[in-house]
Amino acid sequence: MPLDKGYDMSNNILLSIQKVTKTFQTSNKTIKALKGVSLDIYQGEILSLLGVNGAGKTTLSSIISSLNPSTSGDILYEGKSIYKDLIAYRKIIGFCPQKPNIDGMLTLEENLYFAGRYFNLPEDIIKQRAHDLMKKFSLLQYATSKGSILSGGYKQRFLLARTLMHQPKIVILDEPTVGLDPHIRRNLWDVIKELKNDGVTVLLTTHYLDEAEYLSDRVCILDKGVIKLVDTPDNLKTTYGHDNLENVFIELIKEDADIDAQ
Amino acid sequence: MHSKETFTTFFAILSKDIEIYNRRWIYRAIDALVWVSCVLLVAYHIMPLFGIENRQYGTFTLLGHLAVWGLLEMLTSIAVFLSDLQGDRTISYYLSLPISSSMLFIEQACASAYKSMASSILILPIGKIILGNDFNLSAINWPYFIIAFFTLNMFYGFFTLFVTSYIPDLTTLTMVRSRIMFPLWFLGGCQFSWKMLYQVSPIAAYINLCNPIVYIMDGIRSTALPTDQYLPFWLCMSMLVLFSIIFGYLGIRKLKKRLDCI
Repeated sequence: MPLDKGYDMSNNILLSIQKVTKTFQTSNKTIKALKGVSLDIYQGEILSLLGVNGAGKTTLSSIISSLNPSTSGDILYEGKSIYKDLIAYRKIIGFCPQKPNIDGMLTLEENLYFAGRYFNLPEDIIKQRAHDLMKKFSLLQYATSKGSILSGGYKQRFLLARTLMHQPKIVILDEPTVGLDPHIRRNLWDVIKELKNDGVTVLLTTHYLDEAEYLSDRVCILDKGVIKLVDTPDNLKTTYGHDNLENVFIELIKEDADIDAQ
Repeated sequence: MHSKETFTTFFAILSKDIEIYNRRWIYRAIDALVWVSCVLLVAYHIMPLFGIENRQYGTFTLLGHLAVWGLLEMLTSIAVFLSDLQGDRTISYYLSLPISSSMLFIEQACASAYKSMASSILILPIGKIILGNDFNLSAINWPYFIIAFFTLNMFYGFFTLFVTSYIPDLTTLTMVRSRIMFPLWFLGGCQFSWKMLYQVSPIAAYINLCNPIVYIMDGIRSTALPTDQYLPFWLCMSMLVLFSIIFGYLGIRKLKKRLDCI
């Protein structure tokens, strides 16, 4: 059962993650990365997945973005299992990975052109969308440059532009601001906020608690493959008596470490 | 249910791969020309000086090297795939698109086939220049030649998938060349046809039927040289289709497991 408090949008569930587990087999051991995760994601919200390294954040976002299968459990999109019609599901999601996996041999506008074609968009729409997105992300000056020459910040902006090319309903961002300069991070935050204003649902995986606090409607804290809690940043701060999410997170993790020690 | 959309995505990715390859085509075509030119100059102009002279040997060698170029091209495709897995993982982006992972891997096989076809196509005219009247273009059964050229390169595409799925990383790539490519090529009729081998050792000839390169060599040579000296053309094509299906199936299965995709 989701440990969800204080954010009642139960009539507006877009994705329902149900008892999802993920087990990895290595040559000498079995790793349980997710241990029965259940979570509802609502239409138009920004939900951040938080947790220390190895908590299962990236594993969960990879499963939600249908890159990897779960070992057991299901994910329902508008009440239907995504695995029953994976192609239809993939048309409404946009996955922005942590690694800048741009086709370095193509220019930015060519990358966006093909990104549109993969989703069968008409040529005129592709050209318009590509231009609008490059303008929005201040990429027009690099439109005819190859992706391989871009700096980290521009690559990340471009990845987000490519993710939005087919106007997905759900955008999954895996640590989109890692290694970026503060002003570029802020710029990306504004873009993510705009997505929400446009009615897009955003699932954000991040290590940065200030980012999660600024952007999220709710945060989901994962620890050792289970959901520790799901709540709004404001509720968490009130409940734990801290003025920022980082202190709440540290307290929660410390509590867990103390229990482990006992 | 979504076959049209899936094929749209399939052909969009394929056209992107072709577009990227065409920009570098000339470099690979030059590689093929240098290689074949050296082989033909020795076989056709130098060996006769030592008393080894057979008017058909030039055509025999030319077609053999045209047919085997795809095997050498495999190494590049495998290296590109492995470096992507160890690097930015652009494959993850394609796996998030509205296409099944099996179809994506089939697209990769088709792209590999295109690359070997495109880079080897100039071998024929350069062979004509070097061999002159001893390479009679009017003796080629062109419809059969085109079928053989297409089929053998599709085989290389699927064989590339199979070999890639078993190679752990770039450091083991030399094993592919020395333990797989070279034995298959050299024992598969580089210097002799299957019937020549059968005349001296039927047992070795029957064992050699397990080597798909035998069907490639005999199949392509039978389109331009006396057919009674080679395995029947349609047997060769049928066996290549069979090997393509087997290697394609095993390769896709193993890659899906390796990349843990749906």
